[in-house]
Amino acid sequence: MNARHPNPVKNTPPASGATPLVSVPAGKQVKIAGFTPESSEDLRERLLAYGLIPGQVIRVQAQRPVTVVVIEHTELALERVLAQRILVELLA
Amino acid sequence: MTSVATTPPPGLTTSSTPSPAVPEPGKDPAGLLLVGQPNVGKSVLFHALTGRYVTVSNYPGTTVEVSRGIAKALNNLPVLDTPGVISLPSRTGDEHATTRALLQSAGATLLQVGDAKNLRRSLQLTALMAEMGRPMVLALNMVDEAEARGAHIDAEALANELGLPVVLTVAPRGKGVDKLRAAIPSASIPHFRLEYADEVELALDDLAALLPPAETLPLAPRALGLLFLAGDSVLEAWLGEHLGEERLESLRARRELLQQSFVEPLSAVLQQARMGFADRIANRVLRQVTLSTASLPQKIGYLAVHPLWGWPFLLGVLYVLYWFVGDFGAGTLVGLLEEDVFGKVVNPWFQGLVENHVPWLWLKDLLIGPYGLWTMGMTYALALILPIVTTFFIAFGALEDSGYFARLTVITNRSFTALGLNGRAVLPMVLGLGCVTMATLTTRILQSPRERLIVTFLLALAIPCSAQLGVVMGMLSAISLTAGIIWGLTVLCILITVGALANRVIKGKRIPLMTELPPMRLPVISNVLTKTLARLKWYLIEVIPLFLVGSLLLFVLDRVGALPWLTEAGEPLVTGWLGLPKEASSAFLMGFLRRDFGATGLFVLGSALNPRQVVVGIVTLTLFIPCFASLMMIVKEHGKARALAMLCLIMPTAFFLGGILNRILAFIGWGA
Repeated sequence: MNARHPNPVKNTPPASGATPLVSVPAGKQVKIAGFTPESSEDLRERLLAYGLIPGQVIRVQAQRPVTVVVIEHTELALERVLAQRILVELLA
Repeated sequence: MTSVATTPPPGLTTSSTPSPAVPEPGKDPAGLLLVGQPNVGKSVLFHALTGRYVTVSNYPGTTVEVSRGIAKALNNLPVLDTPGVISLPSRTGDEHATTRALLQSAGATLLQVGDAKNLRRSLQLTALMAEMGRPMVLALNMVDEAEARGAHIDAEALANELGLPVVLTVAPRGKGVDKLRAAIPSASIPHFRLEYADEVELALDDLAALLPPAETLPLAPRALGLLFLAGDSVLEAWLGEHLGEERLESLRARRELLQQSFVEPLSAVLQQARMGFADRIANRVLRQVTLSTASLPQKIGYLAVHPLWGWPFLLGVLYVLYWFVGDFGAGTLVGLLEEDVFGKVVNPWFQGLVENHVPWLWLKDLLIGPYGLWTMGMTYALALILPIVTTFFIAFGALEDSGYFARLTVITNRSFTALGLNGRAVLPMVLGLGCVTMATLTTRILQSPRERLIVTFLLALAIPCSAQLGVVMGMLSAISLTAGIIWGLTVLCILITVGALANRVIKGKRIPLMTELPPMRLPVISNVLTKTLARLKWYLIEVIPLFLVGSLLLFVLDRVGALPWLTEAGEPLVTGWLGLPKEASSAFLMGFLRRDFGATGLFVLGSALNPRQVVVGIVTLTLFIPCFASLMMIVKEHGKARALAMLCLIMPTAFFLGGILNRILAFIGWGA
């Protein structure tokens, strides 16, 4: 079985117009744009493993007491400091 | 067969000559290795396949070590259950155990357990596992929950895409388990290959050339290369041992060269390639029906973490917990057992038996005297403590299984910030209200040693266990509600203050909360009962012997006349500082053996104490040293030095604060 990865990601600078996840109101759909430079490698990897990869569309379920996002059918709770490091684009 | 869980990193124990990894004969012959992400149901499937029980909960991270079992229905196939890995490379201690198991079980068939409702996430791991060069089966579990959310998977199409058998299961109900049993023996090595970026592919070829011949390796060279590029530290230690430092250095140099082609860390680059693949496959095999409304369990789940309604919800849960454990367990059941069963039937019968058949007075005393093994030890253990902990464990198990605990971590997260902890600490804290010893063991679910140390200390100092709570509640309710409130607030204030201090003193950073919220569901009765029985069994083995040792020790002290002497010796502290009658000394003495035992000792004094004395005595005993069993657990988990340090901090603190409370209450003129 062969599956060719279409576009090797060399560098994904967050697109302009990206906002931190923490500032998105609950109920909105967003697309992951990238991570802020201060996010650690370990954090990025865990977020990626949960499916928070650039391009993935997620739903913001709550912003208080912590940020809760739904990826596929997983609810993931993230403290604000972590949600600040995720950059997203708002979908209409 | 060596135990995977307790073996140090592979290589450290094998011969010192750096030789290629030849799978040792007899070492984990072709068995079955369960791998998958946390909370996908590996342990439930393990139980279904082997009949062996491992702690199962609707809470991520419950399996902390590798468990072993035998699948009888599969020709006595050895089965290993591994801790969940969010992804590989492994980062945390329990994830390391999984990498280790992969390296040590050469030839074993892989059974990846995936979450059907998170297909992309599961497939991302499949893309790595399927290249390991092992026979493999993919079980997609919790299909019922996926379908309830409108996600339908075409298993056949998925099997064709991946080139390996795919079985849909609902493990707790045994659905799909037969199919899985049928698929395992015939599983073959999947013909799967995910093409990574050209630079990565070139590097993988170079790495493979540096590794020993493929047939001597536990995993396919390509999979080892991918893990190595991602920086798996367990694999690196293993390679260092089997290849020698020199070749490991050239491997590292090749990895650094590759890293220069990418801005993102290599592990993220690889992960994104796998996620991209998972996304494409999922789009082909997944049919998602949009459901217009959230289901009732989902709505309850939202409510439980709502910033406003989450709190009344928690109060409701606490009320039900109190009603079931405090009212029903500690009230109705204890009354029934202590007064009716033991008071009227068992004890008179046993006393008669002893009176008639035991000629020696001292033995009669030892068995049925005031400090008798039976009258004091067994009666308390069986009639007073057992019903309380049983109801507590049932309630705790039900909450665990319902998925509420993960939500509790979210709601309480902020409250733990001042203590340098995050919401995950709530689980051991609540479990501590059942049994502090068990809770001390459970601090393993916390991420950093720092968090574990803080929680262990707070458990030892200020969390009363259910056995103690039962007695405490009984005594306080006999006085007034105010007495209960004074006790509760004092202990809570001390918990917060000491926690905040510990946060300052113990170096390190607080870890922000990131947790998956598993779906809310009605607790499965068989799950709850199995868990309760396992916990009770553990508890009885820990507790009953200590109760008897305590009674025996007191009997001996009483016999040799040391008790009055010790009571006199403790008088300045107990009477002078705490303002209690000198007889209360023996309660503190008993408290050395078990905290609840001490509270019962105070209980015996009963009407001789005024309300202030009761409150001061109980607060001191609550803070007093942890029971003997939990002290042993602290030694085991944190070492002798730290256990001793905790003891030296806790004992004076307990007496000091007890005395202060006595003076404050005297000053405001309460309870004299």
